[in-house]
Amino acid sequence: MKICVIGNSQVGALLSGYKLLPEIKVHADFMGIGGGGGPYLEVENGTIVVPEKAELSSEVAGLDRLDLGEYDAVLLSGVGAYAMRENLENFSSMVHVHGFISDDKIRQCEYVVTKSLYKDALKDHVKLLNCNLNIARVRSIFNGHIFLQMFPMPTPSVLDQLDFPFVYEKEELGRFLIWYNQILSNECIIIAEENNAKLISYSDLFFKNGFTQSKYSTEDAWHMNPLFGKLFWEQFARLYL
Amino acid sequence: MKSEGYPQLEDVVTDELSVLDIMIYKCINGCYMIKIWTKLKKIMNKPEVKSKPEHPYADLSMKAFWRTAIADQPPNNLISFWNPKFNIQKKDSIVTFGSCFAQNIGRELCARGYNWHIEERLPQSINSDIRRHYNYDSFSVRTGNIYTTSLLRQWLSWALNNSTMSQEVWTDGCRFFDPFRPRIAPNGFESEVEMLQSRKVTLSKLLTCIKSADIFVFTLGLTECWRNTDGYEYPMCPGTVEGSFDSSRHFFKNLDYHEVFAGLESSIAMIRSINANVKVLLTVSPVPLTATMSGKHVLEATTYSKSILRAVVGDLASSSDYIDYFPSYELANWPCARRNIFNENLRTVSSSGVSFIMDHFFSGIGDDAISNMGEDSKFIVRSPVEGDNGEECDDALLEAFSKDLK
Repeated sequence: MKICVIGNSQVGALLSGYKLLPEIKVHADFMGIGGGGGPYLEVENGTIVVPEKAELSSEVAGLDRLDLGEYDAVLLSGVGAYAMRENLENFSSMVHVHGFISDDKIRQCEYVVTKSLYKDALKDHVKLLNCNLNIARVRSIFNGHIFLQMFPMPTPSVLDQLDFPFVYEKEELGRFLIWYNQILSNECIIIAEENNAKLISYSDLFFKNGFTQSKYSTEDAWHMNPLFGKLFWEQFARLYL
Repeated sequence: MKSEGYPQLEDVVTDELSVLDIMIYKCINGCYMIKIWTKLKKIMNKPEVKSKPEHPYADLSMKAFWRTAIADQPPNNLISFWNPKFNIQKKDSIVTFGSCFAQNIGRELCARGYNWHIEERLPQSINSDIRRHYNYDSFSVRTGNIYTTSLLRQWLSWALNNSTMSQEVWTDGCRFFDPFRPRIAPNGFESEVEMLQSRKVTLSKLLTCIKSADIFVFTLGLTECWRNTDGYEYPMCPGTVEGSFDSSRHFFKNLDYHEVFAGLESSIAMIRSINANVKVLLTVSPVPLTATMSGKHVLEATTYSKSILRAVVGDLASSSDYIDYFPSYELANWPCARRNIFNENLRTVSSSGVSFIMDHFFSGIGDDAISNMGEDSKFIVRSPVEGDNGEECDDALLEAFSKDLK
């Protein structure tokens, strides 16, 4: 299978994991463009315009367009909703949710909302992100398989990050992430079905108590290491090769 | 612009033009011609030699006489209608609470660049439809409509002491509803805990917003209310929107003057105990009762209810230099204006009615700027549903449940 992997910074873990699997029966080219909600993919005549800031893997380096007609499949990496960081303006980095936070901490929160409201806002948020709009854009020029890889949940070290925007304790955050991931997965499945794409669900090997397991962590709790990428490709191979 | 039946500018004789210059001063809505005519008429009728006043009425200004203040006025402008007791400036932190009409005040304040303070809010990145759907941006905190002074007192006492808060929860078997703001969460809450926690957030925000407020605006709506045998008051009769009616626990109460007065007086005392510098601006909602349980005709019941509210705010406002009254009720119900003020249902206030009322408010505080409500406003007013100006009126739901209307 020849596959074109396109996405945001989440492409990094997939590329480094792919390199750890020389025997895998997939030929993959990679294009990553940094920026959590993106990238914005411009499609034209069956090709994807390579943005100026794009990082390309060796076999496609230097191209100004990726011709999807040369691939059996496209894997869109980093769909769903991006990292929660204090400096980001998106609502999910600002809002706490009832049911995951104790009474005594509520007064420390500027925004606390019900689960229903959060769910509605998250669905609305997801619909507007380029990383998800790209699914329809790619489908408009490509008839082959489209696979989707969601943003992973953070590792537990997120609690120690300077830009961690919440007052949740670890156990509270874990429960929240399980719930959050479920909503996101459901939304991604809906978008996938609308575009005849397939969401690659993470198996239990990736997560523990709501978090991505610490062994996959980099210095940044929202970006994973090569082991994570390797595990992803192994799961992909098991399901689709 | 020519107005049927009014003298036109070209009719004025040349030697009166110097007088005209003095007479032309800015009117609400930018209308100059009508003002000129009004003044001219007065001058034309004025005796050449002013006689010495022979009684106390002789020297009163135009606004004191029905003919000059009302009958001779064009239908969209009352001169010198309201002179506020205290300054209201754009930088002042203004918080708004009360019946559904109060929602218009907040939005108009915001649209004209005033500091309408919303303490319980959502990030702007959440779209306005969702914010409105979940009843954000209606009042300064999510109390929902507070129709009576006793309900205001109840909210304030809970905010000051959470332990006095009712623990009552309504459920339909799946979702949970707050009896004291039954429509605040469109499909109810997921659990009893979520509902109570959400109310505690509101109470906490209520305290915070009063602490930082310069002006507390409260619109009185009703005297009729429903209470339970534990002594708590509901904004809506149980069973009409959510919950179920239990005649052994729930009873009707029509507050009299003394009860309304006591409710408002103690509410203001609590507000001032939180913030000793806050000023209070009271209004009476012009919106008639949707339904009455008093046994009277709804028109008579409305008059009774509004009369009491109006009398109470008048008495309280005249008793203190930090309490003022803005006569929104009078503006909506003066004989000439009424046809334009209300929607076809003769109950809800039309968009033009809101503008008319609020134009007089802003004119009173010395701001004749045109409302910026619309594209640039951060609050997008929804398309009016039939007879609706965008405000959420819980009591309007009663109409939908009225057997006679089915």
